[in-house]
Amino acid sequence: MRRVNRENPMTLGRMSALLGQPGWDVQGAAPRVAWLRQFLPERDPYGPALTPSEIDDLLVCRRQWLAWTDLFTVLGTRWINHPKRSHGAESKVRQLAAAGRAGFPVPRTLMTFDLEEAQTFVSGIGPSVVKSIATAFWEFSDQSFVFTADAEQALAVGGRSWQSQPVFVQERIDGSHDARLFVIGKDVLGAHRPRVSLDWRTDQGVAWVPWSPDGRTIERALTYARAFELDYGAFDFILGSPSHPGPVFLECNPAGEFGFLDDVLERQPSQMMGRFLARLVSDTSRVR
Amino acid sequence: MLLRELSVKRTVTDQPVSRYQGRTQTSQVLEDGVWRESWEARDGLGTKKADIETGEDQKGF
Repeated sequence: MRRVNRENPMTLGRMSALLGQPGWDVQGAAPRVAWLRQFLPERDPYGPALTPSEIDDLLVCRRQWLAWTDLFTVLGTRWINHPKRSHGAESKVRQLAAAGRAGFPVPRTLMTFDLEEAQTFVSGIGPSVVKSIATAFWEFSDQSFVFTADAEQALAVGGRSWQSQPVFVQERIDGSHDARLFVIGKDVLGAHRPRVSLDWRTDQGVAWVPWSPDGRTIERALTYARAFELDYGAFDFILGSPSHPGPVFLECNPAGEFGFLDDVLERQPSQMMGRFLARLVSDTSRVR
Repeated sequence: MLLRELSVKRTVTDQPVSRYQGRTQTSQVLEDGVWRESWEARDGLGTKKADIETGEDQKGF
């Protein structure tokens, strides 16, 4: 098992591929299983603003690395998760639909780019939030990022600004805890912490503790993962909602982070992933 | 643009000192004279807010 960090030549090592007959061959050993994390070149967040030419360079390099991963598809490498599956599962529109079908309570949600419709929706359901429908990160300018925002703040912005892009306007879920749940293969585990803000990522000062989801939640999470053909997913829920039974689904990131909870969960996530990788390697060995 | 209006900028602008650990294949950040794993660093939120959700756990800062 080895980790390939694109930005570190030491770990890239001998990963060149030679085209012969009947096809591509990796110099060294072709990976049987690849756990794909994000590894595309990024801009230096502390460097000076990039020129259009430098931005172009970065984007061209990204396209090359994305194409490079096709090598492993050609070689028959088993992906965790398959890039096409991850791409589909990153869609928040699909996520909310799939979560509802899996049986999770899902916040009432309006997707709109119309201020008046947003106002009507909020008037009807009460306290609400606004979210981007895809990651909103201004990488090349000032590195800004959009977290979950209070709807009143968003409604105070002029209507023309709303027409620039669609957003989610969503019922605000009040609850006692934020929770993160991991699906790793067929294993499920989680952690939670008291809910103190609209978006837990904006407040890192609250401690997480292990959380044991009930059987129904586990089954729903596995159903959701099967729907997207995911081997790995990081779910976010709100627990203890007075208006919804059970954990309320917010989203599931197919490449979501677990490192910050690995200690809290006594290294179970990394160990589970290690065992899962080893089992898949063993399975692919038998097939070959 | 609505999302621009709702966005939050980075709050930390100085690049932390980091190193790559070949043995564990992880990045570490120097804080108060102690090398911490990048995902445990206190300045992580302010320096790379987005990354906790993008799987960029091993790249340090």
